Amino acid sequence: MSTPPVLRVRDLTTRFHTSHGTVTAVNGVSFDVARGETLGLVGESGSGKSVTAMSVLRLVAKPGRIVGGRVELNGTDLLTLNEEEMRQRRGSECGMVFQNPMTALNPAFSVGWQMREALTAHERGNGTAGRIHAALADVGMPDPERQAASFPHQMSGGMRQRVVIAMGMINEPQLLIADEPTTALDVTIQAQVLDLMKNLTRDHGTALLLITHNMGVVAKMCDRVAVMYAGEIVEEAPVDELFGNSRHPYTRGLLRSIPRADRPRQKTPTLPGSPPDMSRLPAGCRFRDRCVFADDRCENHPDLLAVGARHKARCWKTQNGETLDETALSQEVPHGV
Amino acid sequence: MASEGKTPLLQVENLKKQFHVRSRGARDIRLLRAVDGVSLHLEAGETLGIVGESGCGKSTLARLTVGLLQPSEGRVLIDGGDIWEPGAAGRERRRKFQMVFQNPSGSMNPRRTVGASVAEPLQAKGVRNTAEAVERMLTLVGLDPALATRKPHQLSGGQQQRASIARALIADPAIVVHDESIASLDISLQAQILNLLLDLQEDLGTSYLFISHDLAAVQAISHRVIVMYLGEVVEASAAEEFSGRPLHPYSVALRNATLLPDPAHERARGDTALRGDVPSPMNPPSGCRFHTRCPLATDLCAQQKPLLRDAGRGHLVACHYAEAGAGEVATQEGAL
Repeated sequence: MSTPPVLRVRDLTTRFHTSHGTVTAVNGVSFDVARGETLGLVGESGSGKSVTAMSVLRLVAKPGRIVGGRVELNGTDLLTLNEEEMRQRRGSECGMVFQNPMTALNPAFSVGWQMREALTAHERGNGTAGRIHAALADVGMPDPERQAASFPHQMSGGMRQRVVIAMGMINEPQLLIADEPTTALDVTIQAQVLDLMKNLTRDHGTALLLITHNMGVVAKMCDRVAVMYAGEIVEEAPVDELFGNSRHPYTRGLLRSIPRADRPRQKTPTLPGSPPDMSRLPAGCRFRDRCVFADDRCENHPDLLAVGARHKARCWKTQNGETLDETALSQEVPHGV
Repeated sequence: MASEGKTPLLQVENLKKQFHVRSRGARDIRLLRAVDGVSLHLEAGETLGIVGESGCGKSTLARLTVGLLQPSEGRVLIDGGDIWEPGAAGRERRRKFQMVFQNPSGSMNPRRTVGASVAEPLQAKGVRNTAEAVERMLTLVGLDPALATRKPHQLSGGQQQRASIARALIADPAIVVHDESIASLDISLQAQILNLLLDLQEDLGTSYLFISHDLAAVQAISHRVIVMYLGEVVEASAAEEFSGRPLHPYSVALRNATLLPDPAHERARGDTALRGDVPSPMNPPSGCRFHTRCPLATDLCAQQKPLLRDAGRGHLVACHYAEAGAGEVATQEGAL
């Protein structure tokens, strides 16, 4: 890549100190997001994907603490900035869209008032009303003048999430971080909101970091994908490569275990077991207990290494060029827990 | 809809439920028709999937079916008998139902052990010694029987939902109603639970009413599928027939909005056709309730309500134009 990435994260590590001990929720995570590119960060609950997003924005709440690494936004390491410098970058250089539009908006103020706040926090000037109406029109709100005067509770969930996206995009940030932006929405509304985000980021050349657990959303939206498991990235690849030729047993099992709307009644292949307890992680490969391919090598912790062009995996087997045999994955597991 | 004159296990006839809603500051009380004339049937050992978006009335339908709510109109019959018949007869019939809810941690008493919660339906039937049955049920749902002595918060989400299923099945119910029972689980656990439900049905012959917003999950488990929109059934069909050829424009839109884990397929598809939001059930549109969002709608649809009719092979649809342009699911080439 010739141009430097908009976001460059290296060895990011975030810990939570609790009465039950220390949990390393994000463990040495590294990735880039280029201009106009969408990187999907996927994983199940507890995998550390949301904590990674919050760490990039330096919004991790206590008892969480970023203990190491670098987060470079356009070449500036955000982790070295003071709180005021960081506050100025949030919302202007880096927009945010969170899962629940009801809690992201203040119920006591009109939508237009809140959007003006997002705008004037970073610049003063005339024509704010016009820009607010334009931003609302951009996200497909009919009659933006009237909508700007309404309050969040007067809107449907889909409309609220459009407002949150309009707020995230109003300062034309180079990076947008969206954490499960459509999970709370109905599927027909989800489709509308995803189409909208895709068009907006394409038109503005925004780098998008999209956090989701939904592989259908990843397939629709992303250029590249990083899969997280137990606080680490276990695989990273361009989207077609990941879905067509995944090189980590977790990704492979996850993709196979998704029921599909175009199939009739049948059993879905499953991934046995459940993710490990983050305060009692196994030594070696963290996926070892659930992996049908595990052998002696897996007692040592593997690194995330290249297994192909632009394709990395954290697995001893594929790093040695061995294939993941589909028939082994298909073995019937009696309701394993 | 009962076929061959045989009484189906469960029969729901023209079921209606209205709620009286007073909006804040307003003087008048308005009527919310959550379920508006739903009929369905369920045979022994069968799974009927009900799919729809929020506000379509699917959860109210679940509560009406198991007898947690009394209908405003219509009847729920099990083995031909009304579940609201006064006295012991009705009470006995309501006991043939069990329910599994969306949130497993909220559906178990946090201060009792898992074993005590699982044993409850048996104790309600007057069974004294439940230990053996609890152990057998926990094993059946893939849990270590030693977990019976734990409190719910000591179990993971997937384990809690398995325990909820054990509790639902322990007193040998005829019908288990699942209301979004896998929605709060992670993807790898969803498939585990779906497969468990399929296996248990094979072993025990229990019937399921499986209610979900997730069309893919409904397809994976159901023999027949019903699609609801604003309190009404818009389509009812055998699952295989439905997965190949959804007829109602709303079902087609639902199907097209359900993303597949397949990048080539997702890129090839254009922007989604369906516009706008679901209208308020307090003030549903005239005629066909879907006409405000429907790509096929004409003046007729705003004026005349389409009745649920047979479009061939027992595939029921409530649409004036179902055969004309519906059934066009985005091409699935390259999709497995």
